[in-house]
Amino acid sequence: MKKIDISTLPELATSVGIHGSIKQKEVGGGACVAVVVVIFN
Amino acid sequence: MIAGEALGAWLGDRRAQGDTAERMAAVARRIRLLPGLKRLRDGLEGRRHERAGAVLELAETFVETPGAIADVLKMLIEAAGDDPYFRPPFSVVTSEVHCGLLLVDHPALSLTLGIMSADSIAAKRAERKGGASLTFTGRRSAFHFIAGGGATLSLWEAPRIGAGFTAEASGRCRPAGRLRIEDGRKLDIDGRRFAFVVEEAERDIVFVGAETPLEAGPLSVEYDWGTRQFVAASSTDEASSRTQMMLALLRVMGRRDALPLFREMLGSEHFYARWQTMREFLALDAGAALPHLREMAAADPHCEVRRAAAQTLTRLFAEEPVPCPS
Repeated sequence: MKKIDISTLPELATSVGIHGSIKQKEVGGGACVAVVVVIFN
Repeated sequence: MIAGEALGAWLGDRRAQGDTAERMAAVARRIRLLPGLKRLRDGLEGRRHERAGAVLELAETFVETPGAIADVLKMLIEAAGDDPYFRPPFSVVTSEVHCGLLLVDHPALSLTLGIMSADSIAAKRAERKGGASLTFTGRRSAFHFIAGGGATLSLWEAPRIGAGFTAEASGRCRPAGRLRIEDGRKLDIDGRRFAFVVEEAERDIVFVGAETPLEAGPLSVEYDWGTRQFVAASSTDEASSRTQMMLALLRVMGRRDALPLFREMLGSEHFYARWQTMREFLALDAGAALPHLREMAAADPHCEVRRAAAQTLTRLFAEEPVPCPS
């Protein structure tokens, strides 16, 4: 069977980013103080 | 960095650095044995942590135990007084508007003692222009405001984030009231449907925040602050995100011996993980993936996954599209 280029396969209409990723800055709420933000040791 | 005389001496003295490290380890051990934290940890290890509500109750019991938080701070302050190079033996959690210590880092619970800066909140509010988001975290959390800082929160509601979430049907978020935060106020937030924004604060806010991944929705969802419409979504499942990256790597490496792993991941509870796995699977070995693609097009519980699978069958395998009821 022919090799398929992954870029030719459809994406879902609802695009989902990886865990912890954001598209726009938050206005200042629960996500700002959640521990998914950057953690420094 | 230009080190002062005392810091310069400490940096050049390996024994002094070792003493500081020992002090940090000793304080960490003593803190772990504090009755409040030990009860919380023991509770998390028991069966009660199978439910989000039970985990958040355990956290609240800890916060409300007289002296539980104060005992932790007392040890940290005393140790810092004895050694200026002492650092608290906790991870530091920080953002533009707050900083805190991660007191408990357990798979079922993150417990943060934090402070939100009134000045930073005011600055962030002044800068609020287009392109800002309200975020619904998808997770259950409980906040206990030790010092409310005279703050006012706005509460927000959106359609519940469930397994069948789609951007198309995400609707708009809407205001759900305002809340004045008094000292000692408790606030439970089900991030699958509710969010809050700190609108203003007269003074700094001191809080304990508990968050659990148990019973989380599949996604964290952003709505645009201006239009109230859906902007973006991200996974609430860190393991799933890491697995997706590993599958991509296996595909690039041509590792057909990993096909059983791809088949297993097609059974993910998250719709986006199932489809991304299928894309990787098809690119790695289309012949092996095809039966699963047909099955997905016919029976996946998520409409967008069925639709994408059907489109793929039509475009790349010249098969008739499978009806995809919404």
